[in-house]
Amino acid sequence: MLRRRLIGILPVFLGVSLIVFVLLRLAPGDPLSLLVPDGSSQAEVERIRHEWGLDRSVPVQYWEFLKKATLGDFGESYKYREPVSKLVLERLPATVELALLSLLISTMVAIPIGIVSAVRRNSALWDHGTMSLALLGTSMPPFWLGIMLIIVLGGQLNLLPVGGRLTYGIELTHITGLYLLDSILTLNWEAFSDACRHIIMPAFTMGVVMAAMAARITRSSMLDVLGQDYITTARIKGLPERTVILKHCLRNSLCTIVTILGIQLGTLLAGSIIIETVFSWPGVGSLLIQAIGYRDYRVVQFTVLLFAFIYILVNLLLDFVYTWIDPRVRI
Amino acid sequence: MDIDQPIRHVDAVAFQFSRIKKRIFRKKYLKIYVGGSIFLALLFASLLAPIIAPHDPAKLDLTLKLLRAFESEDFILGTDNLGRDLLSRIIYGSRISLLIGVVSVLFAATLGALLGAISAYFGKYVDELIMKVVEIFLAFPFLLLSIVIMAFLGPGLTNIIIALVLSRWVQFCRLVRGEVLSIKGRDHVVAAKALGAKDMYIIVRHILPYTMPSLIVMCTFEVALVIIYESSLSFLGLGVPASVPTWGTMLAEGRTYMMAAPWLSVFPGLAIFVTVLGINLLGDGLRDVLDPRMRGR
Repeated sequence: MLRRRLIGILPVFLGVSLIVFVLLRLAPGDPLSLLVPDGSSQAEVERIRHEWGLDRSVPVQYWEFLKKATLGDFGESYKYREPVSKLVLERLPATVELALLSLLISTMVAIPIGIVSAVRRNSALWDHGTMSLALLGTSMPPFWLGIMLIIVLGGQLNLLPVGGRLTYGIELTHITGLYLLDSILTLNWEAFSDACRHIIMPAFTMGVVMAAMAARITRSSMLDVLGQDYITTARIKGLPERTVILKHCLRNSLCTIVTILGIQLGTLLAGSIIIETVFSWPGVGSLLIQAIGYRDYRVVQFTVLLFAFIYILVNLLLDFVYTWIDPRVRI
Repeated sequence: MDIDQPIRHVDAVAFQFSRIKKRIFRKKYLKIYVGGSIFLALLFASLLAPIIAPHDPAKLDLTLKLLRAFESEDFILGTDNLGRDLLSRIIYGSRISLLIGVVSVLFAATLGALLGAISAYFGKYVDELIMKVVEIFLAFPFLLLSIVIMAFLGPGLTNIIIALVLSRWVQFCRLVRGEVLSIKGRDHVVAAKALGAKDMYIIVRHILPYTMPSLIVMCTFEVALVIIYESSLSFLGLGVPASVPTWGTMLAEGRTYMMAAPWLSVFPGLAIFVTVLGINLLGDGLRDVLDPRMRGR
């Protein structure tokens, strides 16, 4: 079953790589501008073009790329002259840390709100109040919320730092690259507190917007389940309401909630690009935007493929989680 | 009341009027009214921008640069770093946001609905092929795909519409495919086939109209989403050229001065927020009316 699914994603991944490769090769602008020193002769330009394989046709370049990619070689960055995989993977922990904390905030806020608003349906505060807030949240551009938080909390009140991951001068031993985890593992509480102060605004910005969408979906799913006969039966049996909600209702809504997690991952990956730019967060997203600006297509290509790979893989894992949550589901 | 007494014409009219009033002002339509009003206000603002904008949005005057909001009667929302009136730029910005939102969604919906219908109607290899393409497009987080396409096409109004259409058509395709799978077995479709109608005629005339309620609701939500995407791309410098006033580019420019001149960031963002909120309300309201099963969800 797993093998069939893995084989199934192979053509998808090839299609993704083909689209990205072709689009970026046909894009306006020449990456040679990054490679050729000013005042180089035409012969020198041609030599460098040949050296980097840019004089070959797009299909040949794609074939070469695929051959090397299967060996884990995604080429060197035109600008930084370093392997792109090293460059991007160095920044990945920053993005992962931000994404995980945002997901945590989103889940902790959205699921209880979704449950309570469904259980107390039509209550002015618990249902209409929270769902109105959720509607406001889904309508808010995340980067604007980020800018507003920077202006108020970072500027006017001067409570939190407005960019970066750690204040300059604070030492931290890198183990995993996740600063919060590293500071806990090394018992460096000064770094932990500083890392928390840096991450809280960007994580809150991404988390709040995602929580708004997730709360609405959780509520809708809970309402579906609450209308089922077995919930009425459970109540008639005299089970405490808490057991009915948490054991019978929430368990059966979990498939939808897991689907939300899958959708949110896409939001997180794409959202990280813009939130990292707003908060000068040194992650993969901000690197991607810089690379597009420099026309460093190898970095763009690898980053996009990495994001697509993570997205496909996590959604594949979630498919298996469905079968664990609900044994009736077959994949 | 005496039942033998004939009902006066005036009473009958008043009764009818009160019924209509009750019907129109039902609570379930409230979201449509509020959302629709915001959307209509935006539409009028964008159409009448040259008349209602107090100043030329491109007029530079460095002597008036960074005027605070509500400080001057002539420049209610203040001015930017080049002395341009922020209110006029926001009004003109609504044109671009609305144009991109509506046009992109119309094209995406047409493309997606047609491919979705063809995929479900013909089934077999056609379905497999289209669904494989959909799967490839779905493997990209949406904004990421738009970013890659914009990196390829470069900034521009047409380019951003193309990027957004290519990123969003799959949603419509999946929705319509699901609906058509259940519609294609209905009696009227079978009858049309039996009468010898051509496949494309059946799809366009007898199948797609039945998907319209869901499509309309989805289009509304998609316009809201696309407006946020457009502003995000413009904010990243990948949307329309910086010379065109859009809410996203205004926010990007305002970011440089966000501590010294916060109004440059507050008002364009507020414009996006209110617009998207209005369209989302409209979408919620339309869904409640067109799909009663989803009412209150």
